[in-house]
Amino acid sequence: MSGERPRETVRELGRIVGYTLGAALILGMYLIVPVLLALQGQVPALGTRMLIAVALLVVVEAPVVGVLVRTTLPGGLARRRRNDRR
Amino acid sequence: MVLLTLLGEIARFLGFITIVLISVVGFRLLFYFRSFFLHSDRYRRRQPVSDDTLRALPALPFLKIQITTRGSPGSTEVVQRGIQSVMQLIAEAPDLYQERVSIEVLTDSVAEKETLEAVFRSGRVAVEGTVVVVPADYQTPHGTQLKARSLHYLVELRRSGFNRKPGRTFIVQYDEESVMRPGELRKLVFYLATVGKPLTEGPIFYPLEYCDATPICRAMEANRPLGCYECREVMEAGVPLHLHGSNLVVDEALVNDIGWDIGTFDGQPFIAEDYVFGVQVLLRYGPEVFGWHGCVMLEQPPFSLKSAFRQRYRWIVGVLQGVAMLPRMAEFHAMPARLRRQLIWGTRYRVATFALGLPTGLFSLLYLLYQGSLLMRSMATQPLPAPLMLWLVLVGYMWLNGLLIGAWYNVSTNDQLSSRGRWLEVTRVLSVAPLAGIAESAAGFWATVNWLSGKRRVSWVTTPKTTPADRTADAGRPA
Repeated sequence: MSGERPRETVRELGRIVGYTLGAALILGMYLIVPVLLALQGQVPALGTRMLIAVALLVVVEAPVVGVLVRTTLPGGLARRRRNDRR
Repeated sequence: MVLLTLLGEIARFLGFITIVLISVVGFRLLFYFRSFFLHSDRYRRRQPVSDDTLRALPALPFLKIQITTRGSPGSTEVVQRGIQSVMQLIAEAPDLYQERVSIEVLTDSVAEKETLEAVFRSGRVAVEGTVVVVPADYQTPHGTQLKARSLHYLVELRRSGFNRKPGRTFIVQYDEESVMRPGELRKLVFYLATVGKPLTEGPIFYPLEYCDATPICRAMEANRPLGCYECREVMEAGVPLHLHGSNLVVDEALVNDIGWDIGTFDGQPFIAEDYVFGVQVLLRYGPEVFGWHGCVMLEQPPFSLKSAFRQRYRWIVGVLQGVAMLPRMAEFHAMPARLRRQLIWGTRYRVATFALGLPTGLFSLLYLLYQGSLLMRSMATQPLPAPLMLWLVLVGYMWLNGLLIGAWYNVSTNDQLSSRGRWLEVTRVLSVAPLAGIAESAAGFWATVNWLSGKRRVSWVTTPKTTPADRTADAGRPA
């Protein structure tokens, strides 16, 4: 019985790692690989292209995260619950 | 070598087809993201509204929370959830809400009436709650069927004075599973007291019973909250290319005037009564009555792929019925040509993007695998000209972010999920995104193909609201 909880945590962490890799694979397929191919004429080194592609991804994701933060209620989830209880 | 060259040529051809298909879907995504980036402040009301703020207003409208249910298995439990949230609001400030909020449940089931009346009696404070059973033999003058028939029954009661209230009154339309938390209801009261356009909508998120849905259904449901950015745009523009039946708030005088007696389409019942209703309001009142209240309603995803498929199939057939109905209406021909075109072609374009999602998803998956193989083999060739490749990346960016945005709104409003759980859910949605996209659009594709080939029979099976109801959904149905 005492081993149940750590086992559950390990299982959850395993799922988190698995799905994070899965999400990274999908982002890579749809967003990174085409950029790597598009840049190959201008930037021959794969490593440099990869850096550029990842940096671009971070830059274009920032505004999306910004809007998500703005449209998720002020002060995050905990405060929202307090507001709702008031 | 010849074989490789041939494969390369096929892949290039596939790439160009993908570009055409993706562009059809991509332009619609641009429309969503224009609203997302430029007008996100209007999407939802962020500032909390307190009871004191409402008390300070010169006049408050009356709110009738109207829950429409068929009384199918599992529905009573979820209807209670929505009722309890309203009762919680009333219990927090009875002096403010008891005289200004009532709940009306419209059901086909006598057994459900008894259960729900007991719920109304069990509250800490008295709540004005009524359960109306639609008589089995009730018929509207135009022979309307399904949900609109029930809605019209209540309109007829109201026209004859049922539950009439002094002052301005709004009907807040709930589906069986809808919940509005007290904080959002307060914001809604504030909006209606200060702006109060006669027909408004707000965003819907899908966090309820989230973990009981299959991963594909959770990912399919992540497509929807971004769609509400489009809803906001069309509602504020006053051209209801899309109108959802829940989180729809209508002035009682307007709904009493229009009614829900929408008739039938070539002998078949209308299954998108909300769309037809929106069009009728536009034809009679013009675009000015539409608006966006921005208060969030919570609902639940379908539990199984089968239920999700049927739900999407129904939406598309319903909208196609509505578009086909328009030219048969005399008022439609009296509208300005520009508005007519907007309504017809705007809706057709929406349906086309839904249906074309299937070939787009399949082709782009094959094409991406080809691109991946080029990269793995370090081949110094570009499958398509660079600007076209960047356009593909832009559409991919919008599509994946659409899912990320929807998944975040769904999980961030789910109180049962920890931070780790939220991360897990968002990454899970992204991991199954291609499959979910194909499943989502397959229903739209199939509905459109059937419609175009003349198979226009419709059936009404409500989406099961509990997992046991979902498991037994087909029991007893004719094969």
